[in-house]
Amino acid sequence: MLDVTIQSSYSSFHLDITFQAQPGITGILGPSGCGKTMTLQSLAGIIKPENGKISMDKQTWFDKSDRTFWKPQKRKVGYLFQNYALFPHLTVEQNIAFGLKGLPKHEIEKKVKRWLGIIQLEGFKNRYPSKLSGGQQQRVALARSMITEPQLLLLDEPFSALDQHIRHSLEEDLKHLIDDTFRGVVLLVTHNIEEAYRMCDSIMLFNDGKVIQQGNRKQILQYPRSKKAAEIVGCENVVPIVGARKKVEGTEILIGKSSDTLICETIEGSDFPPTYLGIHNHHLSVSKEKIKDDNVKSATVIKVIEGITRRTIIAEYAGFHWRVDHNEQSRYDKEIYKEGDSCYLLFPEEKLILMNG
Amino acid sequence: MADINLFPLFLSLRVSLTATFLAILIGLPIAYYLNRSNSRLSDFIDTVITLPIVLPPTVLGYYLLVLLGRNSAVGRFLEDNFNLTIVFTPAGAVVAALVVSIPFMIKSSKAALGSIQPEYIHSAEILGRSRLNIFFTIMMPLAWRGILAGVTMSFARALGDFGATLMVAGSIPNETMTMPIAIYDSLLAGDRAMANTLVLIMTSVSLVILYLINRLEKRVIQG
Repeated sequence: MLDVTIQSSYSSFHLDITFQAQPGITGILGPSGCGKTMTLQSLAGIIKPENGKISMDKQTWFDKSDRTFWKPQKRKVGYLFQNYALFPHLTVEQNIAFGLKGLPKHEIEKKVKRWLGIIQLEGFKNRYPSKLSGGQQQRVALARSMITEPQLLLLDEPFSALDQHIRHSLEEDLKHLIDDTFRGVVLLVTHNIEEAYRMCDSIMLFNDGKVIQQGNRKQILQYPRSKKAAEIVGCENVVPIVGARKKVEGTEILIGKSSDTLICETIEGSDFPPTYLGIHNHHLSVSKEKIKDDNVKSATVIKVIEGITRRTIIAEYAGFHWRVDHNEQSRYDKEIYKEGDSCYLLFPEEKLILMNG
Repeated sequence: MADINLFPLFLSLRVSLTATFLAILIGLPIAYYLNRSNSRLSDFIDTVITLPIVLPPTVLGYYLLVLLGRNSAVGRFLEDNFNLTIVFTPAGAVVAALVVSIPFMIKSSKAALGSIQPEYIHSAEILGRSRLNIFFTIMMPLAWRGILAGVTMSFARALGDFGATLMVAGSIPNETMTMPIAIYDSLLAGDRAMANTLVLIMTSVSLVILYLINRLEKRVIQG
């Protein structure tokens, strides 16, 4: 288990991170400049935090209180850089073997051969990194890190250097490769919620140098606890709540200028009253006919945006613009919407998210 | 024209090669330090190192004369302990050439080392390599072109120095008279033909050396 508490001040930025991570892939998700990469660098020992403690399993890598600081050379970390940082003047084979200095020659050869096999690049061992595709470079970089048998694997936006169309298949490959060869803690930095959701078991949300939420991926996506968290997980409909009241059937809330109310599931243990209401685009639905339900509200179509696999309808209700994803499976798909049409918005009770702050 | 004394040419080559060698030996570690450090001391050192590019060589020569002369503390120390006299000896010419040329070595190497992506160095550290090992296995191979450019400029500057060398080493024929000084000397003596010959030799030798360095650079890239 990885146990981290670090604080560092920079001229315009304060990093104050506390988290624990279990074996498996943990995603670090947040906007750029939120301290994600800085956190990885602190874990690897590339930068020294001003304060705090980092321990990995039973080892203490950094502890301000007794001045423990292990250099990167001593920590057993694998670090996959955004641009992979393969040494351009060394061949694939030499790159992979780089971390094995000091081992007997035949052992190095054996290990390198095994890893070339795992990443399926046996025929490329004498090539230079510039002659490899992005995906191949990624695999070489991963092999170079993994061959040293690290305790902690850090992946810094591993797909950002790749073309969009190959990202998906490489995500799969990378996930399999890690699942097959690594049992320890993996941290994956990304700013893409979908990538985090597909790759990770649990997810941490970072904002402005702090961990604002941590949990398993479903929980994080379903219940962002703050406006910022909702923004990071891609929930585009977030509006302020003006009034809330607990009732038997759920929490009754009042938003914007409307005088009628929405009913939400009450989540035990959350702060009351909530300050923001959120709902994912794909959980809202729109219809032309009125269904009897407390959470069906009449709205006006503002705009229709045609996408490839889905249509986004922007509709106004209670003085807010709501974005509704309308995909092929939707039973209302046959209906055609135009700007200015009247319609009904359905806010499913169990999908409404109540947030604080 | 009958008998050209080639001593100044060989002395010039010997002095500038020695100075360049010393410039690499001293300059590279300084460049490495300046590249790594952000302290005020390193800013100060950086400024002082640039000074020889800006100051007239005669001013540099004067400083060296004062600093290393037989009456100075350093000069006496060297003479007493190592039996080494700097002023008006070929050693003085080397020191003068070193001082005027080392800024080029340091500036160029520092820029070259600084242009290495930090990720390469961090990767190597994380993969367990020591600083010294990283310098030789990663930094040198990635920055050698800039470093070689520094070596070339250093050598060129050392070979061409006149003022500082004249001040420190003087112009004793067959002892400390380097090529540039010999040219000036023959011109002063009214020997136009000799001056022309020496200028031609100097130009050709410089051309050949620079050409060879260029070739070397190309060959290493292909290899």
